[in-house]
Amino acid sequence: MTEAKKTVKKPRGKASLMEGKCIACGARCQSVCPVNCVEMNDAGEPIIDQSTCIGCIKCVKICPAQAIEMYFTPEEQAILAELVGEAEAVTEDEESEARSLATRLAAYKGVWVFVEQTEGEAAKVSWELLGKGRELAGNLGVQLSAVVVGEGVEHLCIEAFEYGADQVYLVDAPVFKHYRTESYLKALCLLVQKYQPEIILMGATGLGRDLAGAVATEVKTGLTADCTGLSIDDKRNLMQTRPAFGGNIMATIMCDKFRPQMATVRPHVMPMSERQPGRVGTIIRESCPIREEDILVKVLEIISDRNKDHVDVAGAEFIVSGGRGMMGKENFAMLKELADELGGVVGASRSAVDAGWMPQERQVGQTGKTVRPKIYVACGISGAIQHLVGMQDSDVVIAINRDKDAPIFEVATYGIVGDLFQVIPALTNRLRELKAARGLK
Amino acid sequence: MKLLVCVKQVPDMESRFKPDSRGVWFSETDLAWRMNEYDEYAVEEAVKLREQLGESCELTVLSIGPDRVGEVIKKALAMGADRAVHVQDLDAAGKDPWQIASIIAGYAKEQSYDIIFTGMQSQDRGSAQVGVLVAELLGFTCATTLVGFAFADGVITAKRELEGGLKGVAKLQIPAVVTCQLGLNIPRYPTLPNIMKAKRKEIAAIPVTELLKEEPLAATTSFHPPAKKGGGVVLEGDVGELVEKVIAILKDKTAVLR
Repeated sequence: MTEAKKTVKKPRGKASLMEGKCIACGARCQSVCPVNCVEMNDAGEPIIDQSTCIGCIKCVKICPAQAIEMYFTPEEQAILAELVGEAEAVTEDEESEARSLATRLAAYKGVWVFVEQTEGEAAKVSWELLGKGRELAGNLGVQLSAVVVGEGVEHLCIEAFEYGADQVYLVDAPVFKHYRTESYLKALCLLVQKYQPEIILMGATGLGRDLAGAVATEVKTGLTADCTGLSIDDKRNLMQTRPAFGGNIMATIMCDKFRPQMATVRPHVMPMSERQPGRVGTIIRESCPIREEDILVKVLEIISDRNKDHVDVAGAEFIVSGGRGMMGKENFAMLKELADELGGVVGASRSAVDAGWMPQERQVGQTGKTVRPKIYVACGISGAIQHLVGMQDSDVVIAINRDKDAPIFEVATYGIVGDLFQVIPALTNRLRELKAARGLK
Repeated sequence: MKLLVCVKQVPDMESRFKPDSRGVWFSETDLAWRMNEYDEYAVEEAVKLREQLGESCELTVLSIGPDRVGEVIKKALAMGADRAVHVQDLDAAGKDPWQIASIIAGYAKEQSYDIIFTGMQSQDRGSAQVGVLVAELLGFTCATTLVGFAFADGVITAKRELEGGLKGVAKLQIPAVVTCQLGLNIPRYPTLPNIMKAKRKEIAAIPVTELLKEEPLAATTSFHPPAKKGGGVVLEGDVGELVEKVIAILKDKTAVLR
């Protein structure tokens, strides 16, 4: 290597916009630029001042549409080519290391979904995950398996096939009647070590969070909780995207050096896959040597408050939600009437719950429930980000608010700037009239 | 009895977050800091148990981070913890849940704690894993998402929040780790005399390098604001017109009026 070469600086290039690719995502490139060389035009596309650009490629990385590339002059390209030639010798070592890692990882094959069940009834989130798992398995060209653990739960295997599983690992024994971390952990670790899946998905429920953490520790691999997006990159790694800071920020997390890759997903985040009656697959039975006496935790009882006018907000198709703008507890009666007409339920924002107007289990949002109903009617909810993350995937959001600048209108499909105390009763009455008229026909 | 409560300092959620220069975490400038809300419930529950058990019991609070986490440690001490451990780490935010759990377990394994309390998740990263991982690393029993807690004769009775309004009650042998859900109790405000007293309590500082021997298992690769959905249609008109428009939407999108 000559002295002259050493002084050559690696050219960093200048960011430049590729014509027609910008999707006007909302000025992410501008917000990320450390030297403020990006301005936005009226169409929401960036204008990059190349004289100030330092070639940090932050804008390239953040762009969701890959619309920004680095531009090198022909002279710079020549220098780059030369540098690559020099570097090759160095990277050979790394390459062999990468190869051994790749062989280690390649031993793991297949996508698994853990089917969560309580008293023989599967949690819906498990079927949602089978839908997502189907897609991932398709991308990877591998099989999709479900894992069913419990007592007398063979019927769940049939359901799992109908929701997309190719095969089911079934561990059925009395000791697994109730969920306990220790017993389920043993069963799952046994399966993982024997069959070596590359991806394991679980619902981010009380049970799933508990079990996923324990399994990840035991088999020593990475875990990403509460994912909202899952996809496969070009190296067959699982890209796991999850909200942080109550949805203010999305973080993409990868576990590229360990297998299996584990992720949990909150209920109602992934769409339910279509059930295909009559679809079949293979059941693989496994037994797990674990005795009741070895388990320290005992389940005494499962208390259900379903009977006492329990309402499952998370599963409802229509939700009428109220926030601070409802002014008082008594006004929620109005929402209840509308919800009854629609055949839905009443939800609430955190401020309404904190004010004692609605019970905590009705809360929608980051600390409450995530919902994706057909229709979400937001009444007097300003739309704090913590609330939005819980409901923004609803099919249709109708927002009624007096403040036209309220953030709820940014996620609303239909916004009504007006007085909800007039609109809601009028709407309820009109619905009743129409229903009555239909009844007469 | 020896109790440990683990707390995290998080930015106030009202703040505006901008990704930092590495693009994998947020920039810490202009942020206000506070105790993770879930951990406040954990501290309160631990302090209540400490009061129930009396002088035979000692409650330690542990936090990981740079100097600024001293604030949350002092708050926990003022709420009633006896002593504190500050694991000094300038880059706590860059560590994955596995490493954080390893740090806590690395400290706790020498101390033979009977019960470790922590929040169910943090408000910032929100991975909800650290408690479970610590329990696994130490070989303790564990119950997560607690909405009820009682302790008598060496056995914890824990009421856990399950899905769809279900609650589960479990009995746990100690040593155990419990993670606390919001609404478990009403966290107290530190009183002025207690704040003054807290100033005299011991805070042991331990450099993170003494406790952490583990490499991260997962890496954050990107960090960006969520994609905004395009704004919707604004409906206008008087109440009567608005109602008709909404009815039309309902007819179009749902089966309510069919």
